[in-house]
Amino acid sequence: MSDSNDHIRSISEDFKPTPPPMAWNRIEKRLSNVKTKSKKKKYNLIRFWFSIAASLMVIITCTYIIYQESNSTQTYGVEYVAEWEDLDIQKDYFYSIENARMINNVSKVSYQN
Amino acid sequence: MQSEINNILSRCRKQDPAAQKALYEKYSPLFYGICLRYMKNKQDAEDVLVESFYRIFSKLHQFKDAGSFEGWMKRIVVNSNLMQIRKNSNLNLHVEIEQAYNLKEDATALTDIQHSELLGLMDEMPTGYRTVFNLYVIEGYKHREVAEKLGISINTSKSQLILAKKRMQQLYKKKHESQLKSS
Repeated sequence: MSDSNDHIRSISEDFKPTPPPMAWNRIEKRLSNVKTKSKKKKYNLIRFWFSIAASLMVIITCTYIIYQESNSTQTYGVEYVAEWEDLDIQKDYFYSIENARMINNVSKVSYQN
Repeated sequence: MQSEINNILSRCRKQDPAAQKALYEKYSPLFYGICLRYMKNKQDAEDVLVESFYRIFSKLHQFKDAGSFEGWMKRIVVNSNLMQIRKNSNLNLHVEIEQAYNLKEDATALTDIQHSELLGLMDEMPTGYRTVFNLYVIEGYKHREVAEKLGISINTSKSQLILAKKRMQQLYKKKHESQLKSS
């Protein structure tokens, strides 16, 4: 049966009919649908990671601010209170009430001008 | 020729629409011919052709440049046809070894058959016969490979082939006799 097998194989290999004209349009349509879906998927993925990154940034920033606030309050409490306690308000130029009034007047004048 | 295919292939991997169309235009007649042999009507053949090319384009990254690109695409086309056949109908593959082995083959019976006649005869054969005949005689698969592809035993594949050939010879003789009588 190999004679007929060979003959059938050879005539089949030469058989190249023209496919229907709409076939390519259908393939193209399917490929473009897949491209759109994959773009959407990619966009969603980017959006997902971006939202996670933004959330992390907010959390880190809030934590940092809270930490700084609590830290600076403590420092102020310890260091500045000590300084204020040692300060001679009457002698000190900056903290004297007269100077303060004077500075205040001068600044008011300069702002008005 | 090879460099042209390599060029088209590399552009197709980048999803270049012009290259995809070029690949389609080059191979679609050959693959449509394969689909027409497996399917019973043109609409089904077109559906399988569309599915095959879609799978070729979407699996292109899996092709390693070591083997034949055409061979790789042909395998996808044949597998798409087999999937469609499984979806549409039962292959009706029975083990009829004794019945099949008692049949004698005529080695010269189909040596002058034309392709249009072959397609006509294949349309008249049951799906199981046609599928095994296509895989073994035309695609050149071994019985072991046909059995693996269709999920049947090697003996079933052999018996189906013998019965398919016998049926084809009978149909061919019948047609020729009726043509002779009418002329």
